This record gives sequence, C-alpha cells and structure tokens, in this order.
Amino acid sequence: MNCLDCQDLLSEYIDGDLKPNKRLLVSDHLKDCQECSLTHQDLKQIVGISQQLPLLIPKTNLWKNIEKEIKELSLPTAPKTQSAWSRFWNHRFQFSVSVPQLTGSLAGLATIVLLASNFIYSPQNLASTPSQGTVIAKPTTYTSNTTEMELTGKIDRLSHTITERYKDWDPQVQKLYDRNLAAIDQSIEECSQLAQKNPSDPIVHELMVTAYQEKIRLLEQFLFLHK
Amino acid sequence: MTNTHQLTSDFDLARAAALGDTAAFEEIYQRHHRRVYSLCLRMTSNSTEAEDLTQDVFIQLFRRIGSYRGEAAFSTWLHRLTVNQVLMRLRKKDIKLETTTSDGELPIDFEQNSGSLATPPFIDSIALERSIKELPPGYRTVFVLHDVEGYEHEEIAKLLNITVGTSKSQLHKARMKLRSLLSKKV
Repeated sequence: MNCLDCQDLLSEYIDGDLKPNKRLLVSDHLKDCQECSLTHQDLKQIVGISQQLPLLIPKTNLWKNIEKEIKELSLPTAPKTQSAWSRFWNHRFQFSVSVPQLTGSLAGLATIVLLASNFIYSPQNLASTPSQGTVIAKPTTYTSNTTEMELTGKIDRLSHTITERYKDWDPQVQKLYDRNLAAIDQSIEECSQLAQKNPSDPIVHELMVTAYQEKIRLLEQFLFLHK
Repeated sequence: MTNTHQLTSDFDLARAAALGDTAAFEEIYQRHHRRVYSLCLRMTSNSTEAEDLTQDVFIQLFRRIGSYRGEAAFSTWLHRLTVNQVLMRLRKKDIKLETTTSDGELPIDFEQNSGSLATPPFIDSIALERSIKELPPGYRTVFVLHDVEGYEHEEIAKLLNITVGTSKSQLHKARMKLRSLLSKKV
C-alpha cells in the first residue's frame, strides 16, 4: 500500500469502517511510514476534540423574542405576512369572543382533548377498530415508511365522514372548520408545489407528510369533538 | 419564570407546553437552546443566522409540540427538527452541498502534505471551531453532523439525499481540510 492509498482510507480506519484485510494493510503501512502515521494522529486528534466541543451560548436573549412570537401565535388575529403554517396554527380554534371567554374555551378544549387522549390511548381502545360511520379516534402515529398515498386515503375517508355530519354542526363550528381547513389545504398546496420542483428532496417529502398528518389531526379532532 | 418545572421530565414539560403552559415551554428552551444554537452556528458559520434559526426552531417547536408522543427522546426529536430547519434554510439560500462521488477529486487548495499537528503545537477547541467555519458548506455539514453530533453515515445520506459513499468521502475531505487549516494556524 502506498501513502496516497493509505491516507485515503484513514478516516474509515479511524471510524472502524474498514474490512479486516484493508484494516491490516493500513495498520502495517502506519507502522512503517512516519508521515502517514502523523496524519493519522492529527485526524484522530481532530475527531477526538470534535466530539467534546463545548455548547455555545447565543449573544442575545432569544427567549424574549420567542416568547413574544408564541404569545402572538396564541392570539386570535394573525398578521397577514405569516406563512401558511402560521396561518393554520393561528386559525386553530378561534372564536369571535373576548379574551377571557377564549381562555375559558381553550382551557375547556384542552381538558376535553386531554381526557379524550387518555381515553383514546388506553390499551382497550388501541386494540379496537372503529366500525364504519363511528367517530374515528385512534391516535395518528406514522412511521417513516408511511406513504403519502396512505395518508391521502385516510384523509379522503375522514373527509367523507365529515361531509355527512357537517350540516348538523353549529354554524360557528362550521366557520371554524372551514377556516382551519383552508389554511391547512394551502399548506398542502405549497408543499405540493415544492415537491413538484424538488421531487427527490426528502425534506420536502417530510414536510408534505407532516402537512397531511396535520390535516388528519384536524379532521379527527373535529369528528371527535363535534360528533 | 417560576422554578416549578425544573425537576420535571422533558416529556411532561412537552405535554404541559402543548396545553399552553408558557413556563413549561420556557423551561424546555432553557434546557435545550444551547445545543440547538451550537448546531445552528456550526452548520451556518454565522452567529446572526444561527440566532435567527434558533428562534425559528423554537417557534416551530411550539407549533408542533402537541404532536410529540414520546416515541423518541425529546432531545433527539428536537435535534432532528433543528437539523431539518437548518437544511431547509441552506436549501433556500441555494447552498450546494458538494456532489463529488466517493472517489471525486480533492479541492484545489487541499494540501496533501501539510505539517503535522501531533507534534508540540497542539490544537484546541477554539482553533478547531474557527477552522470548521472555514470549511466549504457541504464538507462542514457532513463533518458537523458526523463528528460533532454523532450521526451515522446512513442517516446523513438520507438527510442530505446523497450516497453513503459520498458522505464518507466528504467527511474524510473535511477532516483533511481541517488538518490543513489548523496546520496553517499553529
């Protein structure tokens, strides 16, 4: 083995990624070659220090900005310049009521969701399959293998059930549902456009899946809360 | 902020934050912001951008925290969210990751026979941090993910949409480039 070959393999040698025969060749070369041996020592030192780099601290107090943003996110009116994600999150569960009323509503909603999630996540419920036409309240968890086709299939089924019940909902609930649905559909549309531009980009694919998951959660919540 | 959340687990904090407990979310921020910021800074090499990204990560986290189900460790989940956020930013800025094949050519300024670091002038973390900033973006991304953050090549390949061979190749080139940069500094 010459020096060039040896140096090309040094990182894999350090990381233990070489097959035994190649490892032996590199090892033998390092015993005889001072230059390669020094390079090996240097790379090991770089790897060693990299694993122990200290955590860094931002110069400014970011929490104040973040706190301000998240408080704005919790308010009923959203700035026009926000992204589709922001619009979706801001429009979630908004009613034309005063802040105390809204707070009360949100607390009530949170309690219902918490109780519902305890109910939903109990082993008995996980084991059972909802019959057709009943409220679909199984937890929505997806693995990385879940395809977009499976998700859109589920969205279609949930949307169909909602269409059947929509007319019986309170007009304010209908308005709320329409607004949330429009926001999430816009997110899906944006992701879809990104996916068309970058069909093999895994991040875009992941965003798309997340958007579908959010839509499923929205549909499930409305089905569950407004049966 | 009150100290009532200091002994609470990340999972419980996440559940409380999902229900609107801002103090719980602040505790999450206090626990994890340094790691998030460090990753952002090392991947972007720009402190202003890293701060901006850190804010974005925590705002995204606030929006999505209700979807955390505790299947993975919270820090792992947040870490993945951070990496995705940084990669999205790099893509938006159209920063190309080097796309050499696993046996592609080394960059022109690469010095094969730079002086050794193993002899007395030793490197320290500050010198290494400075040199990481000087790496080309693609090398830096792979180096930070693998050597600093402990990602496997398979995970990096998936995240960056490159082959495992390219990830290994870029890591090796990044380390050799760092050696070259560090030897100039000492």
